[in-house]
Amino acid sequence: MKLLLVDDDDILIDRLTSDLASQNYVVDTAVDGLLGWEYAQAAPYDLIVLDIDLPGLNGVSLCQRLRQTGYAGPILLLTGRSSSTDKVLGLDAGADDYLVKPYTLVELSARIRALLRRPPAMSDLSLRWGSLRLDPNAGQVTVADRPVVLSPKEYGLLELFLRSPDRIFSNTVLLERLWSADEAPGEETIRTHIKRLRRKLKQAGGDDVIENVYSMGYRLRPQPPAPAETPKSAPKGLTHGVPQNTPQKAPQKAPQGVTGGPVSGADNAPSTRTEAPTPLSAAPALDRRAAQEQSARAAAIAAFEQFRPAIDDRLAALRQAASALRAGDLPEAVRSTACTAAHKLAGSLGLFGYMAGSHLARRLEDWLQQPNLAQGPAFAAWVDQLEQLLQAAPGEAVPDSEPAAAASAFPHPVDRALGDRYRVLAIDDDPTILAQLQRLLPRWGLDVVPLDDPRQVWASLEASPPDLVLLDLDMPHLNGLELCQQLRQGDRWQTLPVLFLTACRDPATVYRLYQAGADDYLPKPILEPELINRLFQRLERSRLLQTLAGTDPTTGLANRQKGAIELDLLLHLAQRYGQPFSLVRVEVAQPTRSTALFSALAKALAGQLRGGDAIACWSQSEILVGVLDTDLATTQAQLRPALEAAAAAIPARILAANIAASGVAPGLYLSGATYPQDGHRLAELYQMACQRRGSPPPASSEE
Amino acid sequence: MTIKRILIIDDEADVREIAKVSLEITRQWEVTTAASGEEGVRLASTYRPDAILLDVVMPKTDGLATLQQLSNNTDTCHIPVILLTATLRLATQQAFVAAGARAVLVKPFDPGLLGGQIEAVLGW
Repeated sequence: MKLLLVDDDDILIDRLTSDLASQNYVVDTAVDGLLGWEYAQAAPYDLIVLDIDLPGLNGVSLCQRLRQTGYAGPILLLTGRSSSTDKVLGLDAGADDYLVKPYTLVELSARIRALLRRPPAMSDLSLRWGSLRLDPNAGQVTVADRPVVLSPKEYGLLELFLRSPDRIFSNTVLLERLWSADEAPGEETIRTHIKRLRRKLKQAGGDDVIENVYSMGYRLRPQPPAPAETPKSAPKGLTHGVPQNTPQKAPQKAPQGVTGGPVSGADNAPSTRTEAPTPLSAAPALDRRAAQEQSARAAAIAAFEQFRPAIDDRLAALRQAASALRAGDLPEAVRSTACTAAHKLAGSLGLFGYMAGSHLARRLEDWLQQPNLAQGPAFAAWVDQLEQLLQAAPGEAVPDSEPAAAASAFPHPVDRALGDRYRVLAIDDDPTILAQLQRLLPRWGLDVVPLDDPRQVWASLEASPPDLVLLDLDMPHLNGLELCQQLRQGDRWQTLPVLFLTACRDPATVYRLYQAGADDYLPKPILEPELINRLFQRLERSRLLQTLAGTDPTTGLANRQKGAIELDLLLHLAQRYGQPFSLVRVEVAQPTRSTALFSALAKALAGQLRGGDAIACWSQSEILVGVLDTDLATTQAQLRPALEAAAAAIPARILAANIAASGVAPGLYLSGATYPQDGHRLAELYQMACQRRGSPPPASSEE
Repeated sequence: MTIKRILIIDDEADVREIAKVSLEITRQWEVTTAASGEEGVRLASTYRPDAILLDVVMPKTDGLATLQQLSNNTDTCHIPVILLTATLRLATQQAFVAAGARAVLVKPFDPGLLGGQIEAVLGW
């Protein structure tokens, strides 16, 4: 594992480098932001640690720049400030985590490990060897970022070597892996291809990747000592391979007020707080900043009366709409004025400390944008509530005064596509926290599954697989740490983002959280902007990684992108060997979407398949299965028991909920198409399968 | 720390005022405001701010049209523009960024944190 450490405090650098080196990390160091940027451009790093206060280019800007230019690995920010602004800024800029000085080396190592624990394929799928990079997603090969054009065979050879760095491949094995039986090339062909591959890479400026192993075959050479042999992009003084201390003699800034004595590398006790001491001058600056933030908020609240008339006008527009609705006729002009007023209130009330007012106004705005406005009394009640709310003094206490029961009685007006929403499983024994989350999150497109008993977690995970888990630390029966450890032990939930909500922020607790496999933690009491920022940061990153890895998050099957490649591959094989290929389409038509049924079905279908078959989650309601050398009737017969089992396994309460909501039970449809009778391309077969989708119930009769 | 010059374009007096006060108190920046897109475009070319905060929903020239005019003018095209919007939908926000905004900040913002957010998105 290779890390880049960008920090201008060379005492800190020395200590960190030797500590990380003792854990077998290879560490490059840079003492200012610009140098750090050049290093990151010149060589691939598994993780980058950045100080926020850097000369040249500050840590937040550097982080942003790295993300903009596609650096996908983890970034950890070190900061001397503990205000939530800095954390939010850093995380917004794309950092995965931050650590506030003073921290212990133990905590830093734990966080580095937590960040690196993600499967490497998740953060970057490319295969690298020195300056050579092969991106299997794009099918592209570059040397020092310059593309190299390879034939499919040359590409295949290179990928094979890069994927198995220690293995020697004999001619026979290479022939089996990369040439089909009917091509029947001789060993001479392999030699020619390897020669061409070497020549192309050499012309592009790369080192010789492949070595001949006498009388045995070929293998990948060991990594070159200097990954970037490109003299232009490698900054002066760039060193590789061995862990070492900063190569720069004169840091541009004197080390910041170091007060602690030298600490030996063996000093690893979490309680030691003398390492990396806070700069002495930082504390007053921090206090000043916090005081300024507070006085800006106070000034805003004080200005409220000044703007009261404008706010009253907006309220009047809402009242007018309410009475029009009550009378049963809302003229378009009134609706549109009220809608604008609600929009403006949504954007401004929170400025004066009335966050609940902003939320309420936003709901009113959404509600007024619905096509059919029928619930006059409800609307009027909410306008009344908004007015009452503005009678009270503004401030932090206000957001929680919104009654939860009223919130759920109000119909959720925003009809977003399911794909835009995320599901958050919130586990906390404190009902007020759960209520607060249920109130805060839905309008951000985050659906909350509240759970007050941690013992129910497995049932809940299966019934509605979440995109993220928010976990309380101290709970009866099963504490958050144990639960997190259990989640991390199995394959299924290993990569599910887990965030802790905790009032404890002492280093020892935080260390235990990361040890247990947490991705992040959030302090209680919950601050909305920080919560939302951190949740989205995790969620979007995790969704991106899943797409890159080709896995559908709900079912665990290949996603459409990856599935299409696998199905196409089978179809090509069928064409080459003159065998039939059957494509089966299973659709779940659900009156109300239940992912439980869909993932149960996915699991059951996957269980019926053999090793060489392909299965993919094609959409939120479709699964495609591809089977080689088998006719359609046989394939469908093979899959039918899985469908029946999945249908039988739907819990009665889900069925009942579906029926109650729409009067219809969920329908399963099974149809399919065969190569060569129904078409020669995947798209044609899929079209045909869609056309053949008959009426339910398909579990007993298809087509 | 250098003193930045900021132009705020918003038709709502309260948002304009709170943003101004917030940046003056927390960052000691120099802030000028405009109450319409037209006024904003005029001020931007004479005042030459380091950044512009621009409201999306405004009568006559709205935020996107103002953004267009700013980027068509050689005097102002290099000034980073941050859109202020009360719209939470990510897709809408992404459309703003595609139209050339450097970032989108959601209203209501926290008056204590606005300056820091601007610094973060602009890399100051």
